[in-house]
Amino acid sequence: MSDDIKELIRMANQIATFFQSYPEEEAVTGTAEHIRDFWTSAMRARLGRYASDNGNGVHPLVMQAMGRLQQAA
Amino acid sequence: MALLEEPDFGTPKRETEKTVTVQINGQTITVPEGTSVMRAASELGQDIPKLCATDMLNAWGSCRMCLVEIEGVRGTPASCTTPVREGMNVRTQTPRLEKIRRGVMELYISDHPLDCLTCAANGDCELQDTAGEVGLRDVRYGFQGEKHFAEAAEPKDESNPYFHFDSSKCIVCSRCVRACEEVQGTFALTIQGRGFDSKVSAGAATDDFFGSECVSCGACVQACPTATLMEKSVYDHGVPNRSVLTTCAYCGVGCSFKAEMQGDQVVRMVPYKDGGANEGHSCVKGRFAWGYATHKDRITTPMIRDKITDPWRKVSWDEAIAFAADRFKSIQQKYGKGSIGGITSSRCTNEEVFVVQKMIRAAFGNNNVDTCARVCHSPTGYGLKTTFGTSAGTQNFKSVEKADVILVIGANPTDGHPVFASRMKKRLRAGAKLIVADPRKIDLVRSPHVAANHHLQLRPGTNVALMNALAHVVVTEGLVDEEFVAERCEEADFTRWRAFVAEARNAPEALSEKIGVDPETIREAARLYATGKNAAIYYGLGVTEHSQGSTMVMAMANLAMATGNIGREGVGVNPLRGQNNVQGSCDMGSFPHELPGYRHVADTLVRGTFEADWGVPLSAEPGLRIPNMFAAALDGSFRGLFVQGEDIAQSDPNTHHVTAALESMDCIVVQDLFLNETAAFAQVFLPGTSFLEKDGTFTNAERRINRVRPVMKEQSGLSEWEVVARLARAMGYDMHYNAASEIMDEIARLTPTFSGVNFARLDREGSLQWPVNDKAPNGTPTMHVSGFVRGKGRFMITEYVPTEERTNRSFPLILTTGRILSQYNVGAQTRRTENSRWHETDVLEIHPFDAEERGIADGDRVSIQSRKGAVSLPAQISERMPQGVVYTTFHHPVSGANVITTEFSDWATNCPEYKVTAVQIVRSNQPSDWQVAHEEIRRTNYRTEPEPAE
Repeated sequence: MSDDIKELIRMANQIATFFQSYPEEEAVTGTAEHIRDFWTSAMRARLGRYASDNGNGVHPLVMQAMGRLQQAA
Repeated sequence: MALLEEPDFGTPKRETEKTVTVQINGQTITVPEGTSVMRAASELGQDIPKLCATDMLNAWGSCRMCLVEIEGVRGTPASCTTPVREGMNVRTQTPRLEKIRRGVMELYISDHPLDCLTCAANGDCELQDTAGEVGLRDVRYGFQGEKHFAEAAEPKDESNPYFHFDSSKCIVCSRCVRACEEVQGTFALTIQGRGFDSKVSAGAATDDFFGSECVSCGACVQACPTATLMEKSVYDHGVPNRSVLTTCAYCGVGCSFKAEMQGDQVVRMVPYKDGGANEGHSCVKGRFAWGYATHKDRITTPMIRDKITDPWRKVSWDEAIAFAADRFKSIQQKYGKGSIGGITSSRCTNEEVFVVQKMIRAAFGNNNVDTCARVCHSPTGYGLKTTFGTSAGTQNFKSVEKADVILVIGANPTDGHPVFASRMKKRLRAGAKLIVADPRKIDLVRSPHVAANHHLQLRPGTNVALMNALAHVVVTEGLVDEEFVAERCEEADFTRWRAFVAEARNAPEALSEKIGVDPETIREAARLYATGKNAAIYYGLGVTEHSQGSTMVMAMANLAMATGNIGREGVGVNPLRGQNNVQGSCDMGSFPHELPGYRHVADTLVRGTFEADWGVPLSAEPGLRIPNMFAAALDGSFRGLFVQGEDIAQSDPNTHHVTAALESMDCIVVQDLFLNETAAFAQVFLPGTSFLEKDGTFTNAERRINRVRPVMKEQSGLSEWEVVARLARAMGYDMHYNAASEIMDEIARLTPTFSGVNFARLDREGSLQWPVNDKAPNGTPTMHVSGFVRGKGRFMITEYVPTEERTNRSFPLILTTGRILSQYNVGAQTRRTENSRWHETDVLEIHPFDAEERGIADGDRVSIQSRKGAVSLPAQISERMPQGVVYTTFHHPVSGANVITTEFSDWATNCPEYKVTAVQIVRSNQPSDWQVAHEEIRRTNYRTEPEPAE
């Protein structure tokens, strides 16, 4: 795993950790919106690819959030 | 402008709605109850002679110069200590009063040197003026007073680098002593001896000013009516003859100053009494540390080079700008539009910042713009916008005068925001209660006449746990302001939050071990905050620079809402901004996801207004944040950077990572005053302007927009905004302004919170606090008065999540960082002034036990090792530190404090976690490898080609 994908996973998991205090639907929405609003499209795409291909180490809320972002794209 | 001499009404203004009407010399005046006769007369334009009175200080009544006659009152009372009474009839000038005043003045002059023509205060001496006013013509007692006359007096104390103390000129009016107490709150000065032996002393008999507890704020110098305490610059150059009103360029307090000049030379900076932020006070940086503006290290000619190991080559502006534009364009052709970006500076004006973000969005064609607030207060923006609806503090500084309980968290105001700290201490001396939450025993915990009611000496990294524990007490002990919450806040969010913090795991007893504070102390602090009437939170980077920085800001907002401490004077959630224009640089659209006014780039309507005004399509995609830029540089996709007035190589965390990223880029353009640490990795250097050369505005921590006015021409020949506009044009985007005021007009046109702001209005009214628009035509000193900006306040769940940075056997201590009074951030400015005499090197503060365990004595050189790197510094054993925590500052590049800090950051904003780094400390007798390599870079990367022979 490259350093940059490790860093993206860490950042995304931190976001999910904040939102996981909320009911699941709100938590997924919160995580997805945060990543959409603050990350570049390249960062989103890179994490999205990793989540689709493998997803090891990615918080379950992030997995759902990335799926939702890919659907919306 | 000619020399601006502010009126001195003799005693402070009283603030009450009750009024009293009196007659003075036959004229009628109505003034607030409690006003002194002296002030009432002065407001009528009938000044009464005075020596010990000045309106920055409470009346003292010692000089006997201001005596008056009052109908029906026996004797001649002092007008400064006599309050007006309804129907009072006062005479300020009678033969009897003249005689008494002249007699008193004779006594003063009998023990004062008569060297007026050669005295530094000649033309600026209240004693001289008053002697003239009272018609002194003779001194019956001779001129050989024993105690203060030059030959008998002690030698001048010239130990302070900025002012001297000449006791021979002293008239013992106590204004300096009282200024130190009442205005500054340091209590460093005293009157030693009695009667005719009375003398001003800086502490113990052996102390000089430099060695004393004096913090060199200069309040005593300003208060002195003679040449006893006088700026050395006035001694050297003479009294100034013109003034320019401007704003300090150090911390986020944003003090207003009169730059007092001779020609284009600054003679002294005098704090402006009508300045809303500082009301006539200053600190050692603002008043004295401006010499860097003309320091020999200033670079005033553009320079370029092909490689960072080449010597710099001085070139014309046209050549430098063309070189930078060619490189940027070439990078974009090869690697795409998003391969370049820029960073704006919180040290620059709103106008300068606005044009840089505009250049990046309109000329570079992307949103890769970020600002140094990324590494300080970005969590403030996120947290307060989420809970309250706007990314700014809620109060003005004056609000602290109405606070009954003050909660200071993660801030060290006496060092970082000293002028505000003085206002805060004044309120504390008047009886407000104080809670300090800080791992260190900062000065506020205990200093003269100020003592914290509770010091919550928490472990670094446990802020959120502490706030949840405080909130638990509020919720479970019935201390919620139910009416406020029901009326002002989102019900569902509050209900959820209330249930969350009420859980037993958030009780002080459950969290105290993690926090490191006794649970009963937490409970008492919570009760005090919730029930002490007006409770105000003031916080700094000890809140934001954590992996839960944004969570913590929201947790504080929750607490304030739950207790109804929002929306009026004396309360609020108040970020103490680190730099002069952090608020402004954020307001101006410096974040990669937001256009000016905190509006998301994806908002089609908002983006459309900018596209229409700027005549170019704008990207709807968020750009790279600073840490993302470094990561992208290392993966090869980001290759060009414009850096405005920001030294990322010194100030950003994990120096190895930052410098590797900088080295990997093809073109870095630095716009700055000096060849800073980042310039070692740059190919283009564009000389910047100091605050003394700038024309524009700064916005301080209380959202106050203040004018910055040039007192001298740009040393480099061009304003910074003009340089940026030329670079934008060279990149193919037509950006043009004739004056900085036109940039503010554009800001106002495009930013709803600034719509009522323009230079003419600022010049007329002094300052304005945004929002300034149709809804708030006169600005907004207090936010969220009748409703939150977002409508209803939103409580957020703030689960405590420990940082990933952990101590272990290899790294058992926690390093936290901060700054010191005399130095400022990376030190680029203050290191080039005499301020360095107070702090010549960064040191590592360590608890005596931790030191002893490692065999470390005070002053020993120690190596500080983290998982990221190592540096060595002298150790300073300090009882201020708790066991297990060490502390250093980052003012000197060679210290390399950020070699040690990690890449961990706030979950919402990527603000670095500077405040928690696991380290080990061992004795050492040599610099670290990084420090050796740093010296080598200084030798190789800063060379300049020799000037060609004529």
